[in-house]
Order: sequence, then structure tokens, then C-alpha cells
Amino acid sequence: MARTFIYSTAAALLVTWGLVAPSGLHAQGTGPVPLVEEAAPVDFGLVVPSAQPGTIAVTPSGTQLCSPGLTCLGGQRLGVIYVTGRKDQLVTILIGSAVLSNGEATLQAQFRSSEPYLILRPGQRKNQFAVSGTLAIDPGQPAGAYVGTYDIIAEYQ
Amino acid sequence: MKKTVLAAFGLAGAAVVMAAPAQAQSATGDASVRILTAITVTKSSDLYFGKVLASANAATVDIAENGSRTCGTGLSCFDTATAGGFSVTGADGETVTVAIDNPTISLSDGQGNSMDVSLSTSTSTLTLAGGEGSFNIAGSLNVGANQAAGSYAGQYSVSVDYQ
Repeated sequence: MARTFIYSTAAALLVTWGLVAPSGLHAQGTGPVPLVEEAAPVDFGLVVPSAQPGTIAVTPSGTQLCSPGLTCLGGQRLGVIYVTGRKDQLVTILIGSAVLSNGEATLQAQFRSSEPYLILRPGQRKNQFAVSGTLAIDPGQPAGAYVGTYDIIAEYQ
Repeated sequence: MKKTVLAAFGLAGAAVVMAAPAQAQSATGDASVRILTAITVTKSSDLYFGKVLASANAATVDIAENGSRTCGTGLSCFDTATAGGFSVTGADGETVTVAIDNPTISLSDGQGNSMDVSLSTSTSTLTLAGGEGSFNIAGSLNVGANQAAGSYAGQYSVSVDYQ
């Protein structure tokens, strides 16, 4: 669905440019590389595990949500990502998963972007999206500070 | 005629770009969570008022958090009293809140006689240095005039939660 939207936008641009300067079509077809920067990390906050498996989520609205049995103690935060690029550049956002580790044990995390795509406004750090996520907690998950990284991919034409 | 040619260019150009693969720029984001150790609370000592000889007047027996006892006017107190004590374990460095669930309880001798006890603690929060902490409970026992002799007992509970 996202690719369909990209193609139709590119075609519309080309028709416009074609009427004015057809010789420039090839060069204009590839936009500048957008700059992707992390402004804030995702923090799932504090949680006390139980004897049952569960999940802890930072919802798109920024609240902390624990499945029954887990005790959520706040401290959560949405991730924030800036994208800087050419005006009206269409950028599709893809977010990878992550493994958080405390050096001994691990946790599996899934993430979600607040925006499936961005049509960029000009100016540095004028475009941003939030990253929410869900973390799977095993029964009796060892205590500790778990950290990890996830991939952000910005597709552009 | 000219417009027709340009339109053809446009469509051809569109076809070229549509065939071009999307490019991607990647970055990494950071994520974190802190898993805390579940809290455990263990009673380390009972709140014990000792042996009390009642009088014709009502009075109180107070046990401070350090275990010291104040015997009310007219009463006689014997035996070694102890404050209530609890040990707490949890995540190192975390602060927990402490609350007495039922600050007033009744001690009963099982024969229809009772005495009220008011409970208190100066510990409302506790930082678990090394993952451990403790707190004590003080109590004030209301002994009635000519309180019936007997062995009186009751229970109270405390709650400890991460802040």
C-alpha cells in the first residue's frame, strides 16, 4: 500500500516537470538522502515481573500498559525520531525489532512508528514521529537494566 | 502536437522512475527497561507489650519503635517488650512506601474481652540500600479499668510498594 502511494506521487511530479524540462527527469527522480536522527529513546520504564509471562507496552499515547500480573511503575517514554530532507519528499518509515539485554538475560521488543510515512516539510528537524513499543516479559525475568537498539529505515525515492 | 510529445516524455519518464528501486536511509534508536526484583516483606519481631497488671483505672501501655515501653499510671508492666519489626528486600537503591493497613486493631483473649491497640510507624518511605531495608512498628495498648486477665492477641498487616 505504501509503495503504491510512492509511485503515484513520483509519476505526478514527473508529468509536471516533463512539461517544463524533460531533460531533467532522471536527475530529479532521486531525492536527496534524508537525515534520520534519534531525539529521544524509547523507555519502557520500571516493571516488576511475576510468575506469569506478560507484556509491557508504551502505547502510542505514551501511557504504560502492563498485562495482568505485572506491576508497572511508570517512568516510560515514547521514542522520538527526527527526519530532515527536501520539501515534499516522501519518506516511508520502517521500524525493526530489538533484543534488550542486561548482559545476561534478554527481552524481545517490537516497535511501531506513529507515522507510516512522512511528506517532509523543509527545515532541520521539522519532521518527527514517535515510536511506541511492546516488550515481552518472561516469568521470573531477572532484575536489571536492559538496553538495546532498534533499526529505523527511511525509504525514499 | 507539441503537447502530445511532452506528455509522451512525461509518461516515459514516469515509467523510468517507477522502475527505480526505493532507496533507504537507516538509523538506530535506543530502547531500555528496568526490571525490578519483587518485594518481599518478612516479620522480624512481634509487637509485644509484655505482662501487664491492670488497675482500677484505664491507662495505656506504649511501645516505641525502639522497643522502649511506657507503662501508664496505675499499671505495672513486666517482661521484655518488643516493637513490631519487618525486613524488606527488593531492588537495590529503589525507594518503597510503607503503610500500616489497619492502624487500629483489637486484641482479644478469646473469652469476649478485648483491648484496642493503635499502631504507628515513622517510616513512610524506605530506600533499599543493597536491596534491603527494615522498619519498626510502635503501638499503644488501651488497658481498661480492671481489665480481665488473660492472654490477648491480634493481627495487623503492612503494605510495602515501590514508589
